[in-house]
Amino acid sequence: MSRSPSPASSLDFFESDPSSGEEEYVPRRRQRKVGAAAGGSKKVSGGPNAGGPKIKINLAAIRRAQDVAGAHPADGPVEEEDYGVGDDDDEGYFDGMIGKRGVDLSNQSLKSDHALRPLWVDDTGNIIVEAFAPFAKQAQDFLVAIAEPVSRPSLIHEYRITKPSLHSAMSIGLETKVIIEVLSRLSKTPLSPRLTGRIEEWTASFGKVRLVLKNNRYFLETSVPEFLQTLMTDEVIRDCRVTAEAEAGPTVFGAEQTARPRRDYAIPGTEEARRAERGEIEAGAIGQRNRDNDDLIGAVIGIGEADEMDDEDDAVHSFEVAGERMEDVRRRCKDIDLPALEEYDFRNDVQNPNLDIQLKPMTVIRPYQEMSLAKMFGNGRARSGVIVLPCGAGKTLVGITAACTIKKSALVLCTSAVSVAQWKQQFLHFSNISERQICAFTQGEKEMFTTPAGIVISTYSMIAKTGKRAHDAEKMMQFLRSREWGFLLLDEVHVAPADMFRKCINNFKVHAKLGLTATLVREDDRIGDLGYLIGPKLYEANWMDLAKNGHIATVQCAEVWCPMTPQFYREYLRKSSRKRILLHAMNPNKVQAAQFLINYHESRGDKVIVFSDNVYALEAYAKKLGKSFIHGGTPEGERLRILSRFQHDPQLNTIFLSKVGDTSIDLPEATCLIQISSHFGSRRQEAQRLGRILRAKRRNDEGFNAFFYSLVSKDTQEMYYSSKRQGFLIDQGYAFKVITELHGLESMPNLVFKTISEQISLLEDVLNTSDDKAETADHYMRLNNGKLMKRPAGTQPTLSTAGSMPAVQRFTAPLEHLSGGQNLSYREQNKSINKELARDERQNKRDRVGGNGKDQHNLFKKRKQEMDAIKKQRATGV
Amino acid sequence: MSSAYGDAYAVKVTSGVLVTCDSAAKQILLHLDSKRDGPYKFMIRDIDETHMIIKREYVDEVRDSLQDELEKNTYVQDPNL
Repeated sequence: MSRSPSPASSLDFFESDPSSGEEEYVPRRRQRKVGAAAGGSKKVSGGPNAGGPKIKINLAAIRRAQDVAGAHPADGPVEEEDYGVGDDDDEGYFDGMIGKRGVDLSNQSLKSDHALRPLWVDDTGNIIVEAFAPFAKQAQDFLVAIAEPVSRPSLIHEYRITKPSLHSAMSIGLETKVIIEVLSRLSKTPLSPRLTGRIEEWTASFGKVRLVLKNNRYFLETSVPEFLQTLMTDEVIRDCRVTAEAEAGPTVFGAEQTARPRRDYAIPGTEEARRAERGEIEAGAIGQRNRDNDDLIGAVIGIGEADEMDDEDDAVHSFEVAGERMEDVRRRCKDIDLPALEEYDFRNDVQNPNLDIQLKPMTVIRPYQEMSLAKMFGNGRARSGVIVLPCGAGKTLVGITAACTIKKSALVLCTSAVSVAQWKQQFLHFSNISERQICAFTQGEKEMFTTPAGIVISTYSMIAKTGKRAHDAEKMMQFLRSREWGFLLLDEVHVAPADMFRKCINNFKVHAKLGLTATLVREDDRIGDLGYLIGPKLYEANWMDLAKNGHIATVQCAEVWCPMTPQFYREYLRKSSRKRILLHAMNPNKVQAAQFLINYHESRGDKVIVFSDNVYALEAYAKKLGKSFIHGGTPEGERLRILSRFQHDPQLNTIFLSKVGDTSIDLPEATCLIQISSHFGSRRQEAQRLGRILRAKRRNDEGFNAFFYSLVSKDTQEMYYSSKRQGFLIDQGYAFKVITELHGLESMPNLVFKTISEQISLLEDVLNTSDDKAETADHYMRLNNGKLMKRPAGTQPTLSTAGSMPAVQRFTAPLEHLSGGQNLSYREQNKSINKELARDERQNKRDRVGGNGKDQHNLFKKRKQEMDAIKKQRATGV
Repeated sequence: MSSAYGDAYAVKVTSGVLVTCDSAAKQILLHLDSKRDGPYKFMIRDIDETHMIIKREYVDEVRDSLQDELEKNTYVQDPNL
């Protein structure tokens, strides 16, 4: 099919990511474009000569930490400290934004061969990588192991060394000495002694305290008596201690070998495992491949092999802690600088029955999936943590492979009943587990498995439900609580920090926990709590790499600036903030741009999804442009019909979605996403929306095969929020193009709102709708306590005076809502396309069935009989 | 020759500065003008969608206020750090 260039390509645009290939390392001065949505632009100003001894780099940083701290007031003075600028001691469990960003090495001297080295390292652990320098690839592999990625666009990457990242590096066997050596080899400037001191300090306390689960009881154990004393005298941990009457002091479990980390375990499904099974390599040599990586690094640094730690035969002391206080114990241990190590030695666990599950031989694990699992099973034991992979990259397979590696009973939690069914189907598809051993626990089914070990799949809401349950649900919960689980898998784990879900996770006795998500970003920054609930972030995939290798779609992101018409802008300036939302969403130029883009992509054969957070705007657009739409108020049957038509019918190529489409709906075929209105800058929301189309792999020709447009009204507050939201995506490496003009817009046939009078009548409509239309659909749900009000006509709303609810409730709402007519429509000229579809269905059904029999209402049956009688009379009479 | 009451067809001349801008900026200027009262109003005449005449003394002030209004809509990441 001929590919005409996108309307955007031939026009002037500003690239928001100004890095454009540098052959020679010369720091250039880049202008920050005033007024442009300069998301992620970095200002590099430097001295005139590159080879001079003093180079200063000043990187523009995204001040999200400050924004978040400002938007959500911290819990107390303690939190305030962490967000301070220039505070050197913050560790940022997940959010690498805390603390100072930017590298100031003006007082360092360059090494003489600095052009060959790819890293800039400063004394707080920030690292800048030049991706175009030699050894950049190896440097990045190394940095992924020891540091957390902060921002990875195409040419300059940023990483940050934090305590948790160093701990994860040590757990896979990298020693302090090795880390420091390699860093200094790869760095352009000599490492500051402050940094080496910090690395040593941070790695010193690693691995000394362990949290183990034995016989359904939790124990804190350590081999160093001083640490034991510290732990036992600490107030918080002392509270959590469980003391039985029999024991007076800590029990000594005798000499226990602390096994040193060994990487000779092959993860099933990988190439290594397959070769081992075929006997091509012996089991002992599996670790060779891992050691080869060390050799590569070793070749760089000149050390032969990583030093082996001696086996320790010290006595191990331990004491028991209460299972319900696990989170507090972990948090406290981290605070007093003795992080508790949690590793599940599943191969030597004889208490729990084994689950005989294996991956089917035909499953292939992709390299990034393998890397993420290697981080989890690094030293032959299972570590708990979170793996971040983009949408559509195969997170399910990662979870299933982890379960197949551990081979113990597993509990899987998802967000909805639909996901439960999907997970069960995927388990049966990828592994050889039998149907008897896997069961689902949802509202619909509540069976338990009969074998000693098995897999249970359920939803967060099922497990976290407080209050009474049905009898069999209660039995099921008892069953779940009484066992010891080897593995807990949490899908979409970013919802877990919500209070409701925390309780459910803490109630189970689980050895290893794995959280899977695509977006580890929450606007309320409770994401740090995930570290205490589950574990540290084990692996974060590089979206650009994945896209380059064809695993997810390559997406072209663009921002289309639509000027406001003078009449709209005049009203916009004079109105309050809530009305402003409506005004900049209903900008006629924006509607025209949306129409243009939809027509363009439909003619290319793409499937288009249009997102809008504002329900009023959604309906207005959809009705004006004649497309189907789905929002919270759409009935279930209609939704399913529209979605199935969207997937299979070549006539229906565009649908409009509201927030409901953000998570629950699975749309594999969409290739173009247009966003016309959104919700105040949520980064997570924009990332999730991009996930909707990242599955688009249909056309694998070069260039982009998926498109993401964000329509913004110029000179309004939308510009502000839009650039804020792009922050996350830009860190992942997506450049946002800006489109200021759409070629051929004027000459498009059937252009809506062409005349001023049409625009003015639209303006009148918008001004006359009440302020509440600016709210999203949730507003109405909240008013009705979360239920869509479906009272049968004729009954009065009951005033429930039981308990906490006041007898009288006051709220503001539009009149049509108060009078009960919010779901009625009085206009016939803008007929909703949804209803057309419904009519077609019923028409087809009637044609097929013949319009008789029990499907008809009594009224029509009677009428039909009368008509038949009259016809008969006429036929016989005349 | 001049009549006692002044010539009915005398031409009145006022000097000002012609401002040319796009329609959105013009709306901002109108809005700014409407927020001021009395002697502080800077607009003399509104010509069409893209032109207006303002008093000479207020030119710099108008420029600054317009810049401030436009800044409000721009999200700027911190250039420091």
